[in-house]
Amino acid sequence: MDELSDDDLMRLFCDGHKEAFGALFARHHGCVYGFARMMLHRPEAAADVLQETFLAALRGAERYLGDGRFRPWLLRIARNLCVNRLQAERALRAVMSAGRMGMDQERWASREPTPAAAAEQADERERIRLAMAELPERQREALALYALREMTYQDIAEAMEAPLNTVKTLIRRARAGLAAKLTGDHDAP
Amino acid sequence: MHPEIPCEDLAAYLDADLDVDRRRELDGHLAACQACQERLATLRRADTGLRMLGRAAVPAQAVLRAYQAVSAELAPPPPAEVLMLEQAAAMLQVTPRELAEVMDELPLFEIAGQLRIRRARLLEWVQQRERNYSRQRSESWAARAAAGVGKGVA
Repeated sequence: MDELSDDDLMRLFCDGHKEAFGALFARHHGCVYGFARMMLHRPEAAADVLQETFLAALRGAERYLGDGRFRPWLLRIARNLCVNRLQAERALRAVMSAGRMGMDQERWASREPTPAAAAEQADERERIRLAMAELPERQREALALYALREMTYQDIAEAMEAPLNTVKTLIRRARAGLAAKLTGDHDAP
Repeated sequence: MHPEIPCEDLAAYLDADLDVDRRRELDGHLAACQACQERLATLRRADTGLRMLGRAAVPAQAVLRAYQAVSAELAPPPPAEVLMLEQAAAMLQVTPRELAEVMDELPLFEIAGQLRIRRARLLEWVQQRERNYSRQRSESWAARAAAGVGKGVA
């Protein structure tokens, strides 16, 4: 099935050839996980998003337009799932900070490394991950998509449901911000 | 960071997404400005690092779990435990009319005025018929054999 396009595979799948979806999974699971891993703090959460993304794609296969934009469509699903999770985490933290769960909050906080301290010992990959975690969420989202192979600005704009120029600006600011954090220049955007 | 070239322009420079005049301007500036060369190099390093992150290997456990979840979703639903007569006929590869001929033997039950049969009970019934048929054939062969022997003796 390697020679078939994503759209061919989706058509086959919708026609009842279930194995076609397995081929799509094999082709795209890496980018979905890679994106989720950059968006979320914990690898287990990224693994959850990987699973949920493909289940959502499978259940919503009929909504795919078949316009040759499968990967951006898939990453849009992954992005929405990540955003929902981050919102839920924020809400949970807000509840914890209300005071009644003070001890749990400390435990929660300890699970997320303090970027400055952890970066000292982390390898380059981890340093970048930590620097990314300090960026505003929207920039991090754009950057996580930008980091994926074969994602054009147009693909990213589709995945983020945002205008192309907005996305370009967002990504360039994010890259500059990331570079600044990596060199310890926190005045840059 | 050096204020002369905005960060976004440096990123656009790396993307080769500047118009010719602006690109030429930046080329000229970069040739003379050590600080901006370093900023550009840092940006390149960040880009390389990002691509590295984007290619991070997926843990085998995560792939397996997701694949199993997808496979489970794609698996056909388990067969119904209770069948309508048409479904029972289809399962036995006969027409409903043919099934009606053995209706009295079938372990049916009635619900809301409709006849139904449990899949498991239908299979038991089939097995019973297999045994009966096998026994009848054995008896028939034995009888024919006995008749043959009798003729031979006579």
